[in-house]
Amino acid sequence: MLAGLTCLLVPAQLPAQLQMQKCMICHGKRDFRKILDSGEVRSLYVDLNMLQKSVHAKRICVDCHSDVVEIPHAEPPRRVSCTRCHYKGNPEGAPQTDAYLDYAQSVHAVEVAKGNPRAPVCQSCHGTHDIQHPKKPGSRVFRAAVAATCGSCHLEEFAQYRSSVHGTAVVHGNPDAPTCTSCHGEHRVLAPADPSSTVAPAHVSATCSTCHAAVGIVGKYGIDVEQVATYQESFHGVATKFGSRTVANCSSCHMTHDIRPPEDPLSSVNVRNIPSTCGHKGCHEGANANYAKGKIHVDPERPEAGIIYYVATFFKYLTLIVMIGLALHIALDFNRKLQALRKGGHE
Amino acid sequence: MAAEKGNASGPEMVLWMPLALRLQHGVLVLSVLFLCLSGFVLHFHQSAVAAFFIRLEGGFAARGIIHRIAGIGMAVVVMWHFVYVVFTEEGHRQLMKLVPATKDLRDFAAQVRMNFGQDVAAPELDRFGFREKFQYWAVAFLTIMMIATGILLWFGSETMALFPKFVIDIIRIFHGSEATFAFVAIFLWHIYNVHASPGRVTLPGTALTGVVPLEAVRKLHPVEFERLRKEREQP
Repeated sequence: MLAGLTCLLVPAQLPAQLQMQKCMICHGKRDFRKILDSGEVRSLYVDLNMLQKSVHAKRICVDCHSDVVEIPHAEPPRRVSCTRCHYKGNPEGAPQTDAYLDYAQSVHAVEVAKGNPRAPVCQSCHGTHDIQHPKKPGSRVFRAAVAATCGSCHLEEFAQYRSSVHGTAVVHGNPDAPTCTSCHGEHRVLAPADPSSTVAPAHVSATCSTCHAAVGIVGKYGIDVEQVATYQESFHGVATKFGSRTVANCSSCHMTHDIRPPEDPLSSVNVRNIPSTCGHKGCHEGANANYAKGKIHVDPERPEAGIIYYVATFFKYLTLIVMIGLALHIALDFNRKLQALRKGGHE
Repeated sequence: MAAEKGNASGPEMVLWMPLALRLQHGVLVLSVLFLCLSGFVLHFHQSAVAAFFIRLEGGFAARGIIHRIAGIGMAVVVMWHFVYVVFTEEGHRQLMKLVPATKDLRDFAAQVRMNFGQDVAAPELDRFGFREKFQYWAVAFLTIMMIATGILLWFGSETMALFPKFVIDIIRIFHGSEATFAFVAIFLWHIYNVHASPGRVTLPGTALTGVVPLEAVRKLHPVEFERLRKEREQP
């Protein structure tokens, strides 16, 4: 019997625990590791306890590592492909989404296809032996944990985001504040240079608007939704709408990952920093303190706009009155001349 | 405006608009047309028509170029006109006839009372009646304002550096709103009174030929008609 257990092949009929024990002989040792040619040390330790607390508790090693058929492994095991089970209509009962189809279109998938060894696949974000349901706090893609997960590769962005108004809110459990996936998407992440990206220059204001134009979302935090409407009415907004690639969008002024409220002295839209924000190279070079004197987001149709509102309103009524007056004049004049003509009269 | 053109086979014509002015008017019409087409798409950007015209104009950047070129055209006309009315004899003589006077107020009052059916005599107008004077000075003022605000907007970065930011906001609103107002005024005033009103002095081709029927002058601008008649009688 013992001889049978130590044979080279791992028959599928054996109970799962016994099968896994074979793997755990080596992979259960804490210091089991491989030293790569580059000098990098890769741990090959698997925490069985953690696995049994994860969503894959009922799985055995070879369910995912299906290319491992003998010990020692004839070839280094290939990277696991999650789509082995996670596809629509799979018989395993694995959660089915079209997430991997979205992922296939993403910049991450493109990089993987190019052979970039650092590009992420499913397990890079979701984890390997420690996968939890995304809604559970222990998950690597739990809302509050997403930024750290993305940040494990995108270090600089994470560092900026952490101290931003959005980052601090998410960490404090705010369900409305955005994390990486809120703006960049979850699986169909595209590079900002890609015209279809949610963060392409043409789409930035639409992405920000999903929250900042919704009274139900930002109204709770005392943020005025007029900011989106005023941008869309401004020259920048109109130019963007009609295809300009050079004018400012939300992120041009508010930045991307280190967004801070205007009161914050480090904010790009703090009164003291506005000249340097507007005066960015390629924009309004030569911007000075005058740029900050006056409301930035202005809606001429609201009295809060001050004198601008009065000028706009003055012209509105002037034009209306003159239009009506002149129309009346034409009508009266026409009428008078028609009468004179009927009388066969002279003028 | 004394030069005459007799026409044996038809009603007698008189030169009402010299060539220089016709040329200025032509350039002005073209400028205004392109300024409106390229400008209102910004002011009324919500409308689907705006998107259509911007596509027609070749995109947003092209729209801006068209607007600026047309604006330069308008500025050229203004400067040309200024030189004409100040430094040429003909132009200056006409400019002096355009100076507003109390007679114009009286004429206007009389016309209003007439229009409302009162039995008053029609005002007797000189070469330029109250309508013409009002229109000339209103358009002059509006045009100067449009050019001034336009230049400040064109060099927006510099304007914002010179003045507090809210000043350019005012200028921007002013520019678009005044354009709308001027457009309404031109259409409902100028086009009606000069080109469409029944019994007006101009003919359909006057903006090109410069001539109007002498008979119309007699009816509508009797003071000028008298002057022309006296000039004719003198050898």
